[in-house]
Amino acid sequence: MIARFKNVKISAISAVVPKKEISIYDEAQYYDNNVKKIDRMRKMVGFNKRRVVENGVTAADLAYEAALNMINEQKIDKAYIDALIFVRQRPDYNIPATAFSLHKKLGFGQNTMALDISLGCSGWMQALFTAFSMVESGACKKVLLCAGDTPSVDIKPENRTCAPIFGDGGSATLVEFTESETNSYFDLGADGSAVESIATPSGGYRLPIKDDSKEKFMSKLGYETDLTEYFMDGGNVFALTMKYIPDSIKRLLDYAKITNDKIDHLILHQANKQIIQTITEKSGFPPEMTLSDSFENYGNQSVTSLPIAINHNQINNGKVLCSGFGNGFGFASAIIDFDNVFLSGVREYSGKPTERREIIEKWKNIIEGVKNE
Amino acid sequence: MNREEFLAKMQDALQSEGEITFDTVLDDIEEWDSISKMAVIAFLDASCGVKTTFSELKELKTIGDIAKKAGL
Repeated sequence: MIARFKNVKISAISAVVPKKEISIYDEAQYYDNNVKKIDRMRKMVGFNKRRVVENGVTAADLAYEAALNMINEQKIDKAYIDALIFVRQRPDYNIPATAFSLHKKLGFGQNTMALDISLGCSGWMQALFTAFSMVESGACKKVLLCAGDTPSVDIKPENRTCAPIFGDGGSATLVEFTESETNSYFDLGADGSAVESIATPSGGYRLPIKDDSKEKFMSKLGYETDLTEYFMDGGNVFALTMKYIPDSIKRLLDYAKITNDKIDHLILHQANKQIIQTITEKSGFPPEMTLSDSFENYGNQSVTSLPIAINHNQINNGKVLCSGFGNGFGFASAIIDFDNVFLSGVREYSGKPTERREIIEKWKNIIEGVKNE
Repeated sequence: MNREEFLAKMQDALQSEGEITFDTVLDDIEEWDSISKMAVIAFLDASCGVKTTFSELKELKTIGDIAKKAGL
């Protein structure tokens, strides 16, 4: 589907990553300690550094800090935020939606509605479309879109298909009404045939975690795994990405009647350097417009890789073409005019992890009816 | 793109230390791993407009076979 918005803008984007950094050179044991081999992978795919959370830090924590930084520094009056969206695939709890926890922690009032959107790498773009729609309809003047993911917690270091790729991160984006007409264009779509190409098979309601889903077996990609772990068929995903994204970008440019040379910044989901280069070339953009250094410095934060990349590359002005794509297979591309968008820069998470036993105690107290002194 | 340009781009795409020719057998290339295969698929798509898959790549034995696939 394709859509146009006339009175919506992005005012601010705030980004947070964990402090702990892993370099692929620290993992040389997985590459026979062959530094040349690692150098080659770094050159071709962009594997380099990624940030990972410590135990007890969730996607919501990272997004919360990004939102708090924005609210405090931009002096945002929370009473005027009409909706709080949290886009994620790793919620704090199955029930209730994590947006309510953010609503409470950030101190929003009852006039701010809250909702979660559950999506992977196409998440920020699809949620952005949702926020734009809420504002364009007249229902909302301001929407705070929080996003976050911690893919590192579901991926074992032995899974060399995924471990070097994914990093953790959180972000907050302020979407608001603007009087002066500013045209934004979105192209979105889905291909459900890919549901088995990227998945965490056991842990939902179709296949709850039991002993049989924790039985170990060998993945066709050469590592030991079980059904509770994250799985990605990279070849399939690459094929889907090449099938849909260049066409999505072309469709968007045609619809908006904008030529490639009018685009100031092309910012793609930071899947990996190889795919970013390939899409850039296939979509008719010059190689110097390839932006993959956020992937190379922080990894692929899935849901929230674009806000991190926008902050890392300091994209705050100009005609921006952005595209997010990933598990499902879902995709969304957009052309948006950035006009002095406030960027926080990529900040490091400063909060404390929560202790497991404290969480257990808290819930038991609540449910047993013990009064907290 | 002519055949010489193709060979140069292939050399670059594979980041192979050894020199490659049209007769080079793919399985003999030291760096013929999944990253290289992805690089070939990407190169064929973006630079030659030809779509391939991992399984189709298995049928190709030499660099010359890849060139043929690219229409060269």
